[in-house]
Amino acid sequence: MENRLIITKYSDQYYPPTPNNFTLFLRKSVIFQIIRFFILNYKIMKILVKGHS
Amino acid sequence: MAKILILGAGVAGHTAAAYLQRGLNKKHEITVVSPTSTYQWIPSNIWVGVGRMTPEEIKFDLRPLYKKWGINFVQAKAQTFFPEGDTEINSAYVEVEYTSKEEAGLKLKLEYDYLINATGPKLNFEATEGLAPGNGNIASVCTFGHASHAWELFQEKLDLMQNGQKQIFVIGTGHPTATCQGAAFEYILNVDFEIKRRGLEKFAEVVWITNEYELGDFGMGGAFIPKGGFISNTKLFAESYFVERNITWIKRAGVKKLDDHKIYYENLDGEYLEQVYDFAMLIPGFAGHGFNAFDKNGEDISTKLFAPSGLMKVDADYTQKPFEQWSINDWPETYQNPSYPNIFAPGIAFAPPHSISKPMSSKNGTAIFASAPRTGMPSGIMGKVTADNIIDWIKTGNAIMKHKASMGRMGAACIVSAGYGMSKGTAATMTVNPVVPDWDKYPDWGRDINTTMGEPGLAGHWLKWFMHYMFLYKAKGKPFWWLIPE
Repeated sequence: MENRLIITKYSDQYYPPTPNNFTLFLRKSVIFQIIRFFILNYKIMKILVKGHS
Repeated sequence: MAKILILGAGVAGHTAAAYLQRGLNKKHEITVVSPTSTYQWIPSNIWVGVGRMTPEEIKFDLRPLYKKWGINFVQAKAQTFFPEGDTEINSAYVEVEYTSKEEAGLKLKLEYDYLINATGPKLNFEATEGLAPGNGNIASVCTFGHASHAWELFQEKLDLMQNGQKQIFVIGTGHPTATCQGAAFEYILNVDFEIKRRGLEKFAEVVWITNEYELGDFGMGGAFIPKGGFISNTKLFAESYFVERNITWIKRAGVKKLDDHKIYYENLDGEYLEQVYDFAMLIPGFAGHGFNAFDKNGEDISTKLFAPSGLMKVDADYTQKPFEQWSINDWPETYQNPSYPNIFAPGIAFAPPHSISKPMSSKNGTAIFASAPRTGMPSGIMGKVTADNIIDWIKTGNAIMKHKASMGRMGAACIVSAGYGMSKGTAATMTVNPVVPDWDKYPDWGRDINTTMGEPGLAGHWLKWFMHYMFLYKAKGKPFWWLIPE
């Protein structure tokens, strides 16, 4: 959030969302990310299998 | 006995070669032509460009593998196509020129019954004045050699910052209609990660420059992804990544020229502007290789085989029509040339019917927009589908073309590395399904919202790392390689 202090107001950089502390924690949490690893693999396989005939 | 000639040993060409040798009896002759004898896993060039991998870790020599598989390998580059033969040779052939040191310059005529043109793109650095890598402060990550040089240059800049000298890093697209924004996006995030890992961020300004209308376009018109209870555009996704890292951006910019410290560009408003830099990595425009083709009587038939871009015409609908009338049905399914059905062009070698992003022009008439990307996953699938169709054709004697892979129907995954490390690394896992939006089937979002996503996190880095080793294992033809999908 400290970036907001150095971003010029009303510039393009002022508006986008930034992750809060909980989101940042989840992105680095090994247990949560292990679960996501398998879910992401499953999702990728799903689109791959349906992608060609 | 059928003769199959494959030009190119990149993702599409090598995948096709692998499945052909597996699916065909050894009495058939498969020949692969490539200017270099190495296979490189291009997505990992990013890690070479920041010193996290060496070129040796992302490439291997194809010759022992092809020898084991019974594939002829010719180290050469394709030059001229004779799809009907000529007055002396009564069979279709391609004239190639050797590139190995021992035989450089010698020419050879390679006859074929089936031709796979998987020559990929020409990296068109010449289209932007001053862009060639090695030119002053300019780097590239398009090949492992370029990426290795990028790391050397990056180290010089890190040393300068360690001595308290401020450096400006500008990364993005180096031509008004360049594509592969994803690779540049990965590189800028990795450069930023490495700068911060060394605590040098106060000496660095990192700037993204792009021909995209909005960030997150990635040459595929952007995508809608579900996130935090909303369905939002990848514009927010990409911008959020940059704001979180204090990376600034210049969008709608067509880079025209570079000198040692300035990038000259035109934007969609028609303004001619400059950006100062100390280190630049800008993706060049892509083009075809400028091949010529002749018929049996020596008449030039290059326009029958190739689009004006130099890329090969395939079973796409090349009718000129406005953006609003574009459809997924314009996109090819079998990558078969309409004039010569025994010629195929999977991967980046085929001419797309049009871009995916909406074409835009500046007030001065300069086209500034992202061209259509074709990443590793679609290229691999196209290579496999081409091999499967040729195998069926040879075995049945009929060109049934039952295997299809349209970018309007296939999905793609792209793991965007944003920092290397098994505990501190991060990457965004992005999937789009289909690659080309299908607004008839998915009128709200253009794509299947259940399988289109963008998710940042450590798991993405593990996935990218895992895929690096998995796809090199597959490419090396190790036991049960065919069980690994493209």
